[in-house]
Amino acid sequence: MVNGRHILLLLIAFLTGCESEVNNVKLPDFKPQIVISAFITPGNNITYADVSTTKRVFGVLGNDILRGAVSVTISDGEKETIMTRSGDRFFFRNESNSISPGKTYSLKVISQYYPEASSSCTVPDRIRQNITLDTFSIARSEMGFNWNELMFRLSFDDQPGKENFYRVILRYIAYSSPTGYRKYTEDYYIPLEKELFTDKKVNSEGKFTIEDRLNFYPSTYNDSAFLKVYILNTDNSYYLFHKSIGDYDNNPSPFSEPSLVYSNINGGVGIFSSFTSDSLIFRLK
Amino acid sequence: MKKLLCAALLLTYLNVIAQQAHNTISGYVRESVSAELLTGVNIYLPKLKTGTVTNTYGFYSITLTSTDSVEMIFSYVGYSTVSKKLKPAGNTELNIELQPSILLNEVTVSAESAEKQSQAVQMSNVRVQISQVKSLPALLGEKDILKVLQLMPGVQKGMEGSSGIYVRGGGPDQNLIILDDAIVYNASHLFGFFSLFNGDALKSVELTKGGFPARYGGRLSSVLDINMKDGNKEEWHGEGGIGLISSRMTVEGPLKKDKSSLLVSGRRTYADLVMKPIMKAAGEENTGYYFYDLNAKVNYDFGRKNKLYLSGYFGNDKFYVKQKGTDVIENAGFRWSNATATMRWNHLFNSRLFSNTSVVYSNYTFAIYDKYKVPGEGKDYYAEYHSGISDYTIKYDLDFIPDPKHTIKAGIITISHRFTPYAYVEFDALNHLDLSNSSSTAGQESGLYVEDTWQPAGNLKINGGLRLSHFIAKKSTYFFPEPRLSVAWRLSSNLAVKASYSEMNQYIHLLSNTGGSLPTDLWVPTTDRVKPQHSKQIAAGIAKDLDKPVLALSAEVYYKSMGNVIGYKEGATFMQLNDVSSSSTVSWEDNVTSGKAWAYGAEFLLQKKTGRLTGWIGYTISKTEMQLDSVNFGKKFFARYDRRHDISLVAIYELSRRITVSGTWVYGSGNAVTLPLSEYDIKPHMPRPAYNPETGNYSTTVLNYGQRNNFRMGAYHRLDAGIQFHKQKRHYERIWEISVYNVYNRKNPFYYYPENIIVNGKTTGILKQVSLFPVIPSFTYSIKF
Repeated sequence: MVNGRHILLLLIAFLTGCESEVNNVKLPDFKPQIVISAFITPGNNITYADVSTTKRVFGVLGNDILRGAVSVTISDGEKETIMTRSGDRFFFRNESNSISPGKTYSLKVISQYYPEASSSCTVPDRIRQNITLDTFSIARSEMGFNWNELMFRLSFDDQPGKENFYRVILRYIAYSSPTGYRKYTEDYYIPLEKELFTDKKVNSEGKFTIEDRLNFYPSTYNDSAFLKVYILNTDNSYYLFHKSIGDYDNNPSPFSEPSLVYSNINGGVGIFSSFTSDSLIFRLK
Repeated sequence: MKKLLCAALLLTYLNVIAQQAHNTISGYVRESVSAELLTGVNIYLPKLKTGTVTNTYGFYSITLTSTDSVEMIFSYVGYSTVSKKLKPAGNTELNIELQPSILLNEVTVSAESAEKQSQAVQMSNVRVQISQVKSLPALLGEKDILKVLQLMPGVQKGMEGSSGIYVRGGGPDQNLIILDDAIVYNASHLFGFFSLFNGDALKSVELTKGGFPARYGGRLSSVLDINMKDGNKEEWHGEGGIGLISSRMTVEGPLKKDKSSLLVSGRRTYADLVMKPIMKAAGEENTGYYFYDLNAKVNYDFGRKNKLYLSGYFGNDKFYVKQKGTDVIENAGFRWSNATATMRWNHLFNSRLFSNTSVVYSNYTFAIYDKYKVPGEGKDYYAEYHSGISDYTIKYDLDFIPDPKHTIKAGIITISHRFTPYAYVEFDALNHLDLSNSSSTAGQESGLYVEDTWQPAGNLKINGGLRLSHFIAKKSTYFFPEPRLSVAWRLSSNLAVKASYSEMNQYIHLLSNTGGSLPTDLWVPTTDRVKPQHSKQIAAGIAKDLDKPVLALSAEVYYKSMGNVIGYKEGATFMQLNDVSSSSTVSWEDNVTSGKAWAYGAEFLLQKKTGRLTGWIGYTISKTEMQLDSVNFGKKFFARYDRRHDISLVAIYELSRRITVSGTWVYGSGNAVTLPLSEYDIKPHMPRPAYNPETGNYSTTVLNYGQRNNFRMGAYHRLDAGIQFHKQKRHYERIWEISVYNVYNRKNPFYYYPENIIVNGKTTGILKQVSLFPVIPSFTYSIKF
């Protein structure tokens, strides 16, 4: 089958181009920066922040690791907490500074060898989303394979009068105890075609609705099976970051623009963002 | 009905006005040898210090208030100047024949009669002589008007070797390319390396970059108005050529002497035939590529009052793979084609009122297909994806010259667009699959305009006009007035200061991942979600004509702001070509984002149009920035085709009657490019950790680009040279041409990519450059008979 790659290959073949190392262009200077990945939410016992460093792409590679002393602090404007280091992961227990909806938190990374990196985010309001799930299931069978196609209509409350960002996550959980065997659990994440949503340009009228379909392969050995639906009410940064990660192409065509990954870290790269969540468990079996 | 009645009344009124007592001299200007009507011939009345030019159909009209005897000078680059003295009395018909100037017999051009840019109100306008296009060296010997236009200030090239043009910071979709009134949607062959315009079939090429007269609309950045030759009305002639990758042939002649003529011109590449032995050696003997195109025009002259023209273009590019084994027969490939057809009727109501009616069809289609069958087993499979656009256009234009101070043009146009973003069929006998799906939308684009070129004083000329543009989309209707104004103030007989302002709207958009000119680029309409593009451009400059030597100098500055320009969102593509049916699940509107763009710069052009040495020096300094809501996180960035400096030197020198040498040198500072600053591992949020088998941990590695288009590629420069040997044989003239592309073998950057190599046992990241064409000599043999 002829496809897009053939077009590019043909183009390149016609051009009979030659390759050479570029030495007449000023390459980007490598200035190592702090990389932060932290997602805060109320209700977690422990809040984590992963901290590392950027690595060079030009010149001798392999030597760029997080070096020297690093201090990570989180503050809600009134109380500042120093996070505990465990390798490249920093954490604090919520009893020392609990995450609350509506509050703005600042994260700051001060290190021996890297520029200071900081960011802030405001935790979205925690609201009952009143999630409802309507499903319609069809048993499918082809070439000896059996599966269920599940069409669903998911609705939840949308805060009117403001732009909201949502992430929908589905988790499949099944329990079984076949005779003679010990109990076991199936627990996996079901990827959806689209997980990130914004109500911008959508007239939700107080209710946000998503329709999708998914295939799953219920084991006949399962005693019970559940679908757990999480509705994450996220901040804008969370939405933009995950959207950009989803769009990221690690092998872009030289003829197209590379996609950029969103960062909201001043003086560094990465993400510091927040969300609140609500969930619904739906029994499949 | 009311509208028709109004139009009829208006025409009657104009007709009556036009027939009031005046002294009007009007007629057609033709080439003496072929009776070809000449467009843009300069007509100057030195005593009255006024003048006019012939329209697209060679017609002119001048109305005088006195009956004193006047001298009229007809001049046109490449032709002998003709001077006529006459005493006007009522309506006088004066048809003129201009003699092509003969090599080395340089036409004596007086300061008074030469075509003077300082006399014209129009600015930001470039007219390319087809003879110059034919004299300049070209890649693989393929003459290309678009590549010659790239040598003009304010016009930038895209990728190396590409014929795409970027005018004053506008994208390739913002150029309205019209061939005999028909819109051409993809003006390129071979992925943009050659334009589809065959110079042998063309009469005139005119590019307008700013100060747009109201008669033009529908695109933001430029109008490229190309007219095909009518065909020789006197005797049969032909010309043809054999080049490295293609051959061409043109035949023209009278169907009925002085009344009707025919022109047919065709080209075809034979790269597939030439490459066959090489492909055979590589085991790919059943793979090939070719393109061909065909121009044809026929016209009939019913007399002074009515003329009828029929013209058409058809071109096709095809890449194919054929497998014929005992087990399976497969036929796959992709193709794209342009087709246009135009019928034009010129009607002269009287010596001061001229009209043209055009009915036009235009179509562009891109298709991918795959067909295979297993003989005897009935396992046939067929799939085809295609996209495209087709138009039906009706256009009516009036030229009205009521008195010496006014030239009024008015008209109406309506275009029925049919967009097919995708359509596919798939038939699979083995899996009992018989699918078809398509998405088509219509759009009705209309325009109504009136413009007046007014000379209120001897040294002041104004072209003012208004265009009302209208578009009916699926769920919405748009209407915009577009004011246009150009002013030229002559400070002396050879020096003018000019300024212009124009607003333009664009209702159709091109979605392109590459910024280049690939056949997969997609034309889509304005909708209720995707708004029309809009631009405002202001330009100012001077035009200076020098007498000895005869040179034309122009300098212009411009500022253009553009709104609702669209592009793909980060990482989005319209079509996953690996899966023909995937596009059906993707709405193109979901994948595009809109925003603003700003372009400003200065252009300098020094031209020598006559004499043994002709050519020009052009320089552009410019800047183009964009801001799209969902690209670069909404921050401003340099457009991919933003380039700060562009220089071009072009020279054609007639060494003797038999030998012509030519050369071009171009320099462009580096294009904007996105390069990674670093890379890093990042952990997205998941409800539970997601293991990434590629990295062996829970994170994903991404490149940190900082901003889009954050660096500059290396500078581009190249010298091309050519020599032509003309020899008049008994029945024909033959021309041998040797040209060399990239004479000093400059390795210009095509694209960059990072690569890791091992140096002294250590992994080292480097930036690599892919360059395209090295030094390429080519030979062409042409004949004219």
